[in-house]
Amino acid sequence: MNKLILGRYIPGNSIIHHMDPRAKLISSFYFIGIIFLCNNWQSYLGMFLFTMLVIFLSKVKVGFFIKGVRPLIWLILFTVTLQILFTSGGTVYFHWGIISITEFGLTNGIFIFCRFVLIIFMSTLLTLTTPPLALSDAIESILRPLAVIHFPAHEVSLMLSIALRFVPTLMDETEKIMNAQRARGVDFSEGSLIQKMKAVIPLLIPLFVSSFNRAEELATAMEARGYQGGVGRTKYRVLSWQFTDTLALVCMGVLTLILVYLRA
Amino acid sequence: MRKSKTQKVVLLSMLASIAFVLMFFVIPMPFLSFLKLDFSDIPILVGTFMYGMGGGVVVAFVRSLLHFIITGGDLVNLIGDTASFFASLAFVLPIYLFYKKEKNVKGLLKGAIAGTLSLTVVMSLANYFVLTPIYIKVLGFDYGMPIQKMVLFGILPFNLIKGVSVSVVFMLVQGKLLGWLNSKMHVKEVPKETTIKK
Repeated sequence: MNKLILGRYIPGNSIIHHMDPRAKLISSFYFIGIIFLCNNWQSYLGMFLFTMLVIFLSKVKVGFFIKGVRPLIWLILFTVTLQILFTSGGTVYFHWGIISITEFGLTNGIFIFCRFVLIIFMSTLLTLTTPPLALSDAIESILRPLAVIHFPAHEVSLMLSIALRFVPTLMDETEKIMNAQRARGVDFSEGSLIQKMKAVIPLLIPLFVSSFNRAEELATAMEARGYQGGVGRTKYRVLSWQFTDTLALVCMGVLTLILVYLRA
Repeated sequence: MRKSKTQKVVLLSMLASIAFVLMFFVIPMPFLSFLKLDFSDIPILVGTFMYGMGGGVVVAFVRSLLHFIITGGDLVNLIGDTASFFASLAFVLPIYLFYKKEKNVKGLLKGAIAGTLSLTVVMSLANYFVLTPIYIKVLGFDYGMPIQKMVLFGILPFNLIKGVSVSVVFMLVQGKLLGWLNSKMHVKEVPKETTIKK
């Protein structure tokens, strides 16, 4: 359970690691957006080279990216196979019953595979080079303009930080409660749907109770220290937008132009 | 009444944290293994019952955001996280509205039925018109069967089962829990005069 959630951040000392998380978040979103412009091998090659360059700059081993693809590999292969087998058009290379491997099918399959892999590489890059806390700061900063429409951006970001901090604690707590209940004979993994549902209740109640006690203590501690949210509050971690961040966005713009030029 | 804003914010974030943890405590459905039953709607319900609709919306939002961040800003997950946010709202808000009108077990029961139906309808429509097309568009993801068939035999019964089981668990939990919570929140009330010691 614990392995799943603590993020996959790999500390490092590269240009990508030092980039502003906002710039990273925006550029990777943008990358996913423009990958749909690709429609021939030249444009995919361009995107591939760009991704490779960024991975090289991040100094993270390529193995980590391939690991990121692994959980989805069957899904990808399945989709690609379907594409290859059932798309018609172009020269027919192989024909058997309703199955035929055609030129269009093959190219489509390869393109979808590339798109898949590039999207996963790019979001893995964001995951590997950005700690969760930095990401939450970035999201806060991106959400801040929404305060105009009375979106509680400051509260949401505070909640995000508190929740992030308590996730590992609550995970341990859950584990402990589950073990305690197992010792009393509750079975969490076996049985029908209804039995499994019943097993959830002795987990939920202690979890709620203990975390509410914790919440109360934290609230008291914050109040005792004179916590005040909102306007005028300074931050411990300050995001700073640097030249490289602007450069990254400019690179994204140039990449778009190249794509528009390359695509058929 | 000791009900400061700080306390509210901290409690709601704790609920979001619980909701996130519960997302990993999944029960896979017998036939369609990509549909997983989880109980992360329960903390959202608790938040709604304690602090009104705003509370529930915020807990659901922070939970989905948390999932997005902890999985590392994975953009593929963003679609699922957005969907789960709206699914939770579709389920939780009707329950709260019915309960608000009729504050007893009957109101809760009516709410649970309305919530289950609304969850099923909203998620079936969303899957048919929005989610599946997006998945297919973005990833070339294919379930290997037509969308109609998948919605009818997968999404629809799944959401019915999910709505019913989460409601049942919530009803079993809420009597004890909400009572305890409210007593904890309100009984500690300190008369104004005693707070300033002379």
